[in-house]
Amino acid sequence: MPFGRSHHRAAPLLAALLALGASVAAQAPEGFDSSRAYAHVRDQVALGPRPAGSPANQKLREYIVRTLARSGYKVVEQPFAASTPVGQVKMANLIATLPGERPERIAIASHFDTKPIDEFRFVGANDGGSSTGVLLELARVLKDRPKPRLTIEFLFFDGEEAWGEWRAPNHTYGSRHYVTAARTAGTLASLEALLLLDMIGDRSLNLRRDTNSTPWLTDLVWATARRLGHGAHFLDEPFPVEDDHIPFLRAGVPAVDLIDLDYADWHQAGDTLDKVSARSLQVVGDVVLAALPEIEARLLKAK
Amino acid sequence: MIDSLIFDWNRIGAPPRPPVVILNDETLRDGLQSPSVRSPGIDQKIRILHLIDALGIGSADVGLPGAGPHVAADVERLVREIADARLSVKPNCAARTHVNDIRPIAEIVQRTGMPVECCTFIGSSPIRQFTEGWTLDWLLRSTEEAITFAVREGLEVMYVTEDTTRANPETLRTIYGCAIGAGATRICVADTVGHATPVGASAVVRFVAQVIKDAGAAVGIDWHGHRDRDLAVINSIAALEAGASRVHGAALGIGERVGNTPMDLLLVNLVLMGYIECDLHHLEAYCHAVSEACGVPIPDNYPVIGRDAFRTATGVHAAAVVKAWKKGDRELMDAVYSAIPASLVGREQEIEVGPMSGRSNVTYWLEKRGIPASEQVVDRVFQRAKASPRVLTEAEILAEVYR
Repeated sequence: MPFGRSHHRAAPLLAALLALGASVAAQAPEGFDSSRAYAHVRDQVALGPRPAGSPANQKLREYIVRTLARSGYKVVEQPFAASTPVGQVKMANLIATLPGERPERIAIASHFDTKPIDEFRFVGANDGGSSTGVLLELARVLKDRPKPRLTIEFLFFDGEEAWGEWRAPNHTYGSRHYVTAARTAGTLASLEALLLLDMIGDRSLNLRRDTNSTPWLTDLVWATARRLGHGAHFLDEPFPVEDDHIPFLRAGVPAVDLIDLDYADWHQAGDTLDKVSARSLQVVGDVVLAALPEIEARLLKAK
Repeated sequence: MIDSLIFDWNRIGAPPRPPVVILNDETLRDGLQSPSVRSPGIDQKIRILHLIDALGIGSADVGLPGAGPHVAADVERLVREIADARLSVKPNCAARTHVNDIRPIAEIVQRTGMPVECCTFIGSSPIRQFTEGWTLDWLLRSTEEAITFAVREGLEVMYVTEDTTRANPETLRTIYGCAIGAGATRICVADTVGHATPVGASAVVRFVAQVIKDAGAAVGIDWHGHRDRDLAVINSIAALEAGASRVHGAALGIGERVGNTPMDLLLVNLVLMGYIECDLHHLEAYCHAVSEACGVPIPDNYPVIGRDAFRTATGVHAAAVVKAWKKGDRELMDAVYSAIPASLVGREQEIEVGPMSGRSNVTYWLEKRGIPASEQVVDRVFQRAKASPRVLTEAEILAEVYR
């Protein structure tokens, strides 16, 4: 059930007014709307399983392009052919850019494919769906705000999931392709940070600190979460994760992965819409929005 | 600062600013007489009327109700809209110099309670008189009857002499005397076939001003131009400088044959010359509304409004614009290669990438959109542009960035 519209930027006072039933939404800046993010998750699930190379995956790409176009983004498709255990698979990342005052950029990313599983119908509401829904909503909200100091790049990766067992190089096809292409093009140097979102819709949201992620970036996000009163969802327990951020880290780009792997339906038929909570999407959306200016400030200070 | 960087030769020997400059919009009457236009629906006409008002245009010809009940119904609806929406634009209607055309206007005024100026027209040149078999007596009789009727009905009358720019001065003097005597408050000098040059426009308006002065009447002069020789805008300016106080135009220059004076370009020039003050941010909407409603496409190279008006792909031009951009000076950027600031009409300078482009075009194009611009990327796009017979599309440029 959707959590509904929220305008968290004005924090406790506004929350109190809303609780009293006062309508002050018109005066608040447009906030992250978890009901919109949730609707995106629902729409993705309605497409069925969306593994890389499938017609549903193609339909989802069209959905992402359409959704972003409504907010005024021109989406670029980055097509490539990936060598997988099932042969060559045509994949495509999607990239949308919000120009900032400076050309250096921060990327916010999610994979949009779902794990190819033959044994049962796997629709990846949380794994693939939740973070893609949040990323689409973040793009909408940020477009309506004043121009950011650094450019923001929204990256939608294809082919994160492995065919069968997760063993290199049978995973993270899209992110690896992006990094290789950007390195060749000489554009990786101006990418200053990556915020990766994955599986962030679980009703009981428990984000643990990924030990592969860049410590200062993780610290900053976790501190922001605490500041917003979401500390209970951002646990201090360390654990290592391999995900789409690894190719970036290897290329020297600071990156943080926000992922909740403590999820009973991970890669199970039960990863369905009812497991996704708009409240969790809201928490992550709010934390990312609040962390962005601080990440900008930190990066600009280093210049 | 920009003023100190531009020596404006246009000011050398320039005549003084005309004391009164009013605009009259002919889009919804003469504009619709273009053989190529599709007649807009009433909702589209209302939208256009609102945009005419938003541009601060003083008056608008909303149709010739004598043409039939369908036109009369539209005219009445538009007059009501002006009243209901409290628009500032004043309505007027065309009519032949005949009671049958004037009566429907008077009836609309009765029903709406809104004053509507009656613009009653008659041919005045010898070539027209000869072809039609009109005598001067007939002209005078028609003029007197029609204007007397209109004035008795309480209408303000503008007497429009068709083909004035090819009419004999003595004929004009005689019929204007008659019209003024019958109660006309304005005289419209019509360059009906687009014959005039600026010298001719100036001469005929000065002559008419003298006739009015000799008659001792307080009568204003209108100039109604056509663009057959593509001199319509400059003729209108010449007419104002010679003593006209109201000039006519139609959006995108639509109208009879190749059209009327383009109102949009007339407005822009009058603003740039300091003859009027007006917010031109609605100009694009006005032109596009008329373009869509009338099925008249706007050519890419149409000044100010066309797609290419502030767009360049040439290396030298773009380099100068980009240098101004890098100085962070919008005004400089808008003036260095442009006589008309794009911001005047709410637009921006656009730089494209094509075979004539330099690397600065590519860098600007990418940076403007926040697309990462490394040397390699700029080089890739630059090479592709050099090999292309035309300006690259957005997709072609982005494909080079992310391949």
